Amino acid sequence: MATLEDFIQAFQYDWMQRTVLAAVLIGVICSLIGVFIILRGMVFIGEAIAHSAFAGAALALLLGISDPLLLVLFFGISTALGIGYINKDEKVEDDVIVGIFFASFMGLAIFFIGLLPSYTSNVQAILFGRILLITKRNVNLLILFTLITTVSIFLLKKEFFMISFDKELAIASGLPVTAMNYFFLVLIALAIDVSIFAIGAILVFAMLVIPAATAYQLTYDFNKMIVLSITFGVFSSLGGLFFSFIYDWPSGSVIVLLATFLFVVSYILSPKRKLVSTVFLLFKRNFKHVPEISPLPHFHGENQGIEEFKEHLREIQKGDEKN
Amino acid sequence: MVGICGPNGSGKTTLLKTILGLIKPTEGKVLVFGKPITKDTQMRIGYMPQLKGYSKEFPAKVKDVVSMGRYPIRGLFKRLTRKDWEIIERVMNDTQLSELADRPIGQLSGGQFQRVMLAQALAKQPEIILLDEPTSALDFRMTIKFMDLLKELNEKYGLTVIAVHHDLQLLKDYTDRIICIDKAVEWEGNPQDADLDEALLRIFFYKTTH
Ligand SMILES: Nc1ncnc2c1ncn2[C@@H]1O[C@H](COP(=O)(O)OP(=O)(O)OP(=O)(O)O)[C@@H](O)[C@H]1O
Ligand SMILES: [Mg+2]
Repeated sequence: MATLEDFIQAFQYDWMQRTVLAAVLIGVICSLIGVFIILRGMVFIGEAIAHSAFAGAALALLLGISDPLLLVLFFGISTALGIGYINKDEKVEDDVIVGIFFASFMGLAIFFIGLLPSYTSNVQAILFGRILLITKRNVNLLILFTLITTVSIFLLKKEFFMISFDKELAIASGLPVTAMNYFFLVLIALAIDVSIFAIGAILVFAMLVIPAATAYQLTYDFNKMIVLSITFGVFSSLGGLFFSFIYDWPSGSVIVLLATFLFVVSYILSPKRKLVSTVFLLFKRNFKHVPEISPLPHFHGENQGIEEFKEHLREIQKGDEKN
Repeated sequence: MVGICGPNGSGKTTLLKTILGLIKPTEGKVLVFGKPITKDTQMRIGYMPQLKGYSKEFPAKVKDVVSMGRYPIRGLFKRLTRKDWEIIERVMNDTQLSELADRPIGQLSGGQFQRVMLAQALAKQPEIILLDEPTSALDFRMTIKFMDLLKELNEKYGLTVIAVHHDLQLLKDYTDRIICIDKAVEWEGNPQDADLDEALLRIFFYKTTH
């Protein structure tokens, strides 16, 4: 076990600075993309892309490719585009097809791993993540992809927001929804592919979903949701790095567990659930004043007719306009 | 002002969506402004969908949703300008939403939400507005305000209003032309036409097998 001092000492080394930077960027890229994944209910699609990236990594191991990143990118992006193509008729309920993608890539990945002569520590790294072993090339790509993602989401924020709110309305308004959809799927793939070696194939999609879901509990304001999501994401991944360094725990699981902890807390505190205020109310009786209802003056009889009522309303309205 | 009526499932929503280009017609074609629909024409049409369930927790406020009407006008990559916000505020004022501007949409009543969707469609400053049962959740008073507002826009700015209604009184009071459909156009005419009532009876009571 390393000590806190070791941890602080390590900051003077290049590799440590690189790792910290990676942790921060992973927090940013995943939780930013995650906001839109949550709002659009695309959690399952995220997971399918993550598993295809896993299959790519496993194949790279089998072929003895030293840096599996390119193969991972290839698998991730083609799956993203494939799902986009299947979904292009704007039928969102394609759970079944996405589910089959998801399961078959998992099968493929396990197949590749099964063919490996021995179960190496590399497999462990892909499955569970080793943020401390992240390569320089991976960090460079991470910088690049985080930039691309942040800038394009910043520039297209209002359009992505509208598509998340009501896709059909966005199409009817003349927004290029299909193109933006493909683009967004590719962004998901990029985020997953550069994070997979730090968080692990099994858990990477949790990082896309949990910080954003946590933020979703806490606010009705879209911009605040983005800021909160990124904050939670960065906090979790830095925390994961810390525990991974000190206790040599698998970074991916620590990151995800930290993120889950934040989620549980915010779920309890959420103004949308009112769990806390409900508990308070149990201790506090409140009496509400119920006003008496006065009858409408103009209506007697049965079929006085809607015309008369409308006339009456128009009178009221005229009064309103004078005021 | 055009009113569309017809029994449930008769294809009213489908008709509006086809006009908007959301659904491709299986036969025939749709001409808007004399041309097939494109992104450019979509920008000149406002659309208020039939009331449906939105997530109660969606992080958007009333003014955010109303401002969506301006997005396509402003264009990709650009932020809304001060002029956009002036239009948004005016529209919210017209639809009596000013006080609700900062309310999360999940906390609105059905009728309030319907007004938000109308405001969104108007914020586009369209030449044609398509409304799918726009008053289905409004109270009496709001219904009349709503229809009067549309009438005013129609008379002042020449806004073409095409609206699906289930309320016969509204159709008679507020439209210049009524089209009744049941998979196909069954009757078309003016609200004053003597055979309107008979046509409605025929379409809604004697013909329906639903
Ligand atoms: N011209 C048509 N020919 C065949 N089927 C149609 C036609 N128009 C609509 N339909 C089908 O009828 C179904 C219901 O249509 P739609 O939602 O447009 O009904 P509606 O008139 O809006 O009903 P409501 O009053 O309940 O809103 C849809 O599944 C649609 O595919
Ligand atoms: Mg309908």
